[in-house]
Amino acid sequence: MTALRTNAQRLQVLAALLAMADERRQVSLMEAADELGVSTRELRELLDPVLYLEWRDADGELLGETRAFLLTDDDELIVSEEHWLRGIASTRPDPPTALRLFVAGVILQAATRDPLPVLDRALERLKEVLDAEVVVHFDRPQWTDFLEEAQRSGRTVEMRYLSHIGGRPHDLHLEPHLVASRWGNWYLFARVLTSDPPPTGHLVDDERIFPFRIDRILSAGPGGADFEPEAVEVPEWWDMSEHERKVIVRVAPDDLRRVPEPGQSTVLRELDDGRVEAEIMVIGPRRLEHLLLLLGPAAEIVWPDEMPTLQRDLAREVLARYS
Amino acid sequence: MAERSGGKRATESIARMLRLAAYFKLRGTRQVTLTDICANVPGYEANFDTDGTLLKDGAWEAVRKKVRRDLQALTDVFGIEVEFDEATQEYRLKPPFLSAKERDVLLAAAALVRIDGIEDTRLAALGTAVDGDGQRVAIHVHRHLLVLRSAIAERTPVRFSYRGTERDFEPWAVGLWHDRWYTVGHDRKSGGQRVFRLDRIASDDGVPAIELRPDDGTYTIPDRFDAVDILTLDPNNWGQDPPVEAEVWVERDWCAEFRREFGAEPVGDDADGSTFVLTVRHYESFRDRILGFAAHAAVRGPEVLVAQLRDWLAGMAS
Repeated sequence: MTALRTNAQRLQVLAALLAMADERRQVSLMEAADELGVSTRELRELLDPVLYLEWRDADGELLGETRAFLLTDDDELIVSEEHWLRGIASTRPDPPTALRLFVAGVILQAATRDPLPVLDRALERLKEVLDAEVVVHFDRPQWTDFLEEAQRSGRTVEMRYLSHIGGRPHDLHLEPHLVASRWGNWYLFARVLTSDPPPTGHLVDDERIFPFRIDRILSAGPGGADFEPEAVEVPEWWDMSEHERKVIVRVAPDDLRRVPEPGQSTVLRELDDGRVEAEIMVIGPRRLEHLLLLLGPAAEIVWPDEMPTLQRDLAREVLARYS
Repeated sequence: MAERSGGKRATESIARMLRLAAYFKLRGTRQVTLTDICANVPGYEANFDTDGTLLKDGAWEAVRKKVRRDLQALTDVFGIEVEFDEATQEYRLKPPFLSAKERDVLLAAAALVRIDGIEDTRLAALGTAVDGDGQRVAIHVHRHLLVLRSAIAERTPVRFSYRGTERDFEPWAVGLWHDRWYTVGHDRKSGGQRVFRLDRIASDDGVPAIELRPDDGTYTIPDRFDAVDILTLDPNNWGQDPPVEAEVWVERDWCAEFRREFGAEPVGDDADGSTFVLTVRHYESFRDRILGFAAHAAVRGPEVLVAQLRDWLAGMAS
């Protein structure tokens, strides 16, 4: 915990405290003190002038801004009216802040069904600061609204889903607990009540909660049962190692660029004939099949032993579509 | 005791600055003189003569400096800017950058979307204090974005290494496509328009991955340049093969994925699937993407695309 020594430090801590109250609707002094690295006593001292900002002018008229912020008996700071200091701020945000707000705003725009003219205006203002064209493609897939509504109302969902790992459709009955977006995709985090065939994904926790990419849902409808929505945290990453499939191939170096994402290739050695021997890793049998077909006739698959046969059989199966 | 009185003085200084800010807010965009401030805002004491005119004595000089100092602190910390007109010796509050509603909607956006990759240096910058628990969308902003933004704003060429080749580049725009950041612009060496993926720009420790080159002249961005279109990075948009209309039949359960992959809409349905028609401008990437559907899709025409697939598959099937 650091003591506040200068007026500039005090003012900055006060600004951060008021920003917390403004952006979270309310904040406890203890929580704020912890985040800001100061004592609650110092925060109370800093707040005094804000809470009791009142004086009489030369004509004896009472002036002030006493109603904007309220500190409750429980030490919760609340913005009861507008954060007036922010209301008169004219400084343009710096480019990092403008970029952060712009990207967030464009995503909100994409996630909103009805146009929001006030958001459009705010984004125009931020564009002035950026002074550079920043294009953000961000889709909101079909079924997202339906799933969010089902989650809010605690109603189960039935859906048909194409697994990206196994490449097979599943018929599922689910409790939708969270709809969230990570890495450019929207996910439903749901407890699986029934699944035909059994789910091939990966558990988020041990409560049969699986992530499902919403853009892979083929159809969805009400499941007819109620449930109590639970707080589910989105993991920062999930372990896919169980589904990894590895192949060692000899190919022209440029051919490695065609590995389907999110696959990875590692060059093991360069060969005398200009090719490379590389290990390629993909996730799940479906991407493995895609990889084998992509490699084409010029690639030499050296490991595992059964892969050349699998590649040949797959090619024959697809070729049958063209005979 | 000394500390307590120091703390009290500090609180009084903050109270004085807040009163000054509140006074300007009350006056709106109307002009304010130093006399107004000294007469109406406690903490800015000065001497007046009998007819109410501010005396230009030592106290006047001190209070003038105090106002200037306090206004600077309000600018630095709260972004509140007051202009001073030397000619008329009047102050005026500048209008806010964002309206209350605009600010609220951006805060709603910040509460929904977590932006990774940008460090906010200002403690109270808008949107940095939102409750992270509600952020259901997370987006990573590539660290090269800020330097490219700066280059575009100043029309300054940049230099970077990409796949082992040094590029002198005039960036026109940056964009996000399928969770990857790209820049589009003019590549000076090849003399043409190019798109580069930011995570493929080489980076050495201690050396900026993208170097601003102000001594290499400036450039203009073409008027007809459409960043939204160019940064829709489907190979079908930028392919150079003669455009053909492909007809593809897709099994029922794979239609949604086909629609997403190619941005195509079905033109007909049968009992087992749907038929799609789409323009293809990049034959090889089309073949590679169709192979992702294995036997769940079949290209029906034109012959140039069917033959390409048939030859490719026949080479592996024998």
